[in-house]
Amino acid sequence: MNEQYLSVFLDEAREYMESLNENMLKLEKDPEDMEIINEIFRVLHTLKGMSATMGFENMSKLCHRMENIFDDLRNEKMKITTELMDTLFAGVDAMEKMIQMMAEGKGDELDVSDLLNTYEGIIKGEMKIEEKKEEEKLETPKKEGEKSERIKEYEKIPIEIDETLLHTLEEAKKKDYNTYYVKVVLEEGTLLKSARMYMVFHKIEEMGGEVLKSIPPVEDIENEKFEREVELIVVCKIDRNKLHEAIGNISEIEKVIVREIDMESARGEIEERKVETKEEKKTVEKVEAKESSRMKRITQTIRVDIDKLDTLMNLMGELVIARSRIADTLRKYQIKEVDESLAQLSRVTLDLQNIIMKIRMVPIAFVFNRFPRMVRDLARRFNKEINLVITGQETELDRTVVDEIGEPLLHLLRNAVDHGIEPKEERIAKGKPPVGTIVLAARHEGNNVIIEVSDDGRGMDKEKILSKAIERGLIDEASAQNLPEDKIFSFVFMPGFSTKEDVSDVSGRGVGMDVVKSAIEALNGSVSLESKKDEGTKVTIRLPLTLAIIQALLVTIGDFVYAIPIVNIDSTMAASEDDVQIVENREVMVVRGEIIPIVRLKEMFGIETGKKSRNINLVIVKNGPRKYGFVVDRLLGQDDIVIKSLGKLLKDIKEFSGGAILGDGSIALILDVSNIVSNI
Amino acid sequence: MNKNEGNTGSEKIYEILSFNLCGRDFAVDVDYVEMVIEKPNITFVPKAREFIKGVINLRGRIVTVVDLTKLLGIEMEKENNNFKNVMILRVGDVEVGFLVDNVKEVIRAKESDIDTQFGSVEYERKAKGVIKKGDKLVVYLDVEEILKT
Repeated sequence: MNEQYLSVFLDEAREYMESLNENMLKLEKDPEDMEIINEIFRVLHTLKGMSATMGFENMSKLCHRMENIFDDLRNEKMKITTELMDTLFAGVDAMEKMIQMMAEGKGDELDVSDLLNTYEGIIKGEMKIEEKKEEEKLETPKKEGEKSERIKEYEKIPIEIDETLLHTLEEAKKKDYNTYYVKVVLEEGTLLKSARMYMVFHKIEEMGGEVLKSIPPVEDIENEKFEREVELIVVCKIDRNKLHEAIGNISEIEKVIVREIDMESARGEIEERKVETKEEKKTVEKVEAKESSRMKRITQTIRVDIDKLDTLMNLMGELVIARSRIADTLRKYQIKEVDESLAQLSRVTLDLQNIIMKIRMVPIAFVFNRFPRMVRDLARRFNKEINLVITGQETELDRTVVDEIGEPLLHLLRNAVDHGIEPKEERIAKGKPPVGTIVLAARHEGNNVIIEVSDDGRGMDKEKILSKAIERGLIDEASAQNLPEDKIFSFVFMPGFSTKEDVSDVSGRGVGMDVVKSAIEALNGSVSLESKKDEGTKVTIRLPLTLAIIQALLVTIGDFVYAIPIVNIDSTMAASEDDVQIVENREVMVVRGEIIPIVRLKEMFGIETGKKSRNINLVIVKNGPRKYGFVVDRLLGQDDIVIKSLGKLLKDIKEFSGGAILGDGSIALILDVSNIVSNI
Repeated sequence: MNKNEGNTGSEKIYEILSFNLCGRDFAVDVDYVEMVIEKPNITFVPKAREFIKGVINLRGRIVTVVDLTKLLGIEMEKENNNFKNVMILRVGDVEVGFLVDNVKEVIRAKESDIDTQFGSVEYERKAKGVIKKGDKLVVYLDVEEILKT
């Protein structure tokens, strides 16, 4: 099988799966919406065809069975129930698995016979319950045949019949008038076209007939605004052949087609259109959403290997450095023309850099899309009623960040479903709305993306957290008394810290929040939590727009420049050696009432200290709830730096998360604050 | 120079690039060598293993520079910081720089020219063997083995 086709197939199939999931969730909320059922039917149909073409018979069969069910739903032979949705979702899951297997080159040999049988049972089962329907079914082949014929004939009548016209036609029919569709084609080169047509109209009227509608309209015919063809809707008492003959006898007429109008199919067509327009009206609000999802699909179909983008980024970096070197060299000569071109070059490179950054951006919908389904399943499992509200899914951030953020968010949502939202009865007893709400929101804020996961559930018990923290020796009772709220909640992110007594298999084993925290910190982000008892919990994640570029404070230690990520920095300050005190063999300093351990990076890095100055520069960094004072030589200022890996040979070094190339071509190592302080 | 060209009979011909380091001759497979550059400013990396001299900016990439004398345990009378060049090698996706004094020439050696006994004694597995070139001995290094350390 052609690899290339397979990858295209897989890409498309994945998109269809996404659309299936999305639409089925919508359908569950709005089971009456025919538009959604039709959409799902179409998707399944396409998938069926695609997989059959690729030789994935199993997949094709599964699609086929599901398609049958949706066909019955479409024809209202079946009603949507939660159980039905469950089995249908199971089908979607099986398809996803198959697609995964295909991607791994294992084909689609997943055993889905159970599912197929279930689906068959569903279709048959429904028929038994509604025997009448079955009778109808027996009749259907004949009817269907008729119908398709009718449609065929109708298709040959291209004039759109609106309701008033149809009404008139029906009235005419009752009075024994015949209704015809007449098409008149004039000979080529006919000179007085409108006069000819006038003769046609006149003839019809002469025979007691009436033209109800013409295309083009009469005014256009009078002004000769038509080519050679005119279509008419005519009612008259005479039969088809006579009419044909009468019109055909007029000279310079090449062809006449007379056809009877089929009221039933015309009525059907109108109904269909009505439904459509109704739907249109109903979905006016949805249109916007649909459009955005269509847009999303467009962004998804532009596929670029991320490696290529990385290479592009690297080249960009080189370009920037080369430019600044040229600028440095030329500055000596003070040539005005060169200065101008250099300024131009700077602008272009900056624009280029921005665009490359933007190319790496993808909407966060990439991850958000899978959550509605997950929350639905979890809610069903815990027998809770939950409404997941997602906002800001169009918020864009770096592809790498998007890839990494899924797991932490999954944890948070699970927590919200499992621990946050109370069972229905409990909520009613508390006077809350019986359906719990979880909000997943994303938005830009400066150079950051904020993601919030909030629920209106039972919230966290501050006292419980505190007593647990004291019990685990994280804090002494005295200082626990006036600990600010955010400090209390930050204990939740400590490894192995869980106040949940009972353990469920979804969450609450004491792992989770610390995993969330470390995953987010690995992305140079930060996470915080607010909670009010019985009102709910809100977890706020702050992420940099991109992984590749971060804001950092540049400092010197010894002869070299180092970078400290701004996200880790609390503040900077100048101090004196006299302020350093020794407590329990450790150097500490009191800063704004807090005792902060001092870290002498120079000693830690094994750099010659040289002569000691009485004045020291401190960078206060924060790692979770704790702060540390890093002693550096000089503060150089803040800059945007591009993070680069140090390579495999330096993998064992935990103190640095990477390196950055500065404007002058030199390298600044980036401090990994949490690793550095973890040894203290 | 085509690599396959030199196959005479069944014996394999090795093309290796020799270089000078503290008065001794070493060589690596020429295929690994990307380029030789003048020694740029090297950024010291604290906490790195002793044989790692630091990192350099090679056209926007950060490349680790290795001091072979430390890695191979070559005794030096005094600390030699005056290497003139950095030889950039690429093995798979790892790019590394070796500090060298002078890059000399490409040696074409037959399998039988390589004495595998000697090298394995002094440099353990970091050398594939020793090649006699005129009155000098060239140590044929095993780059892949070196990068595993």
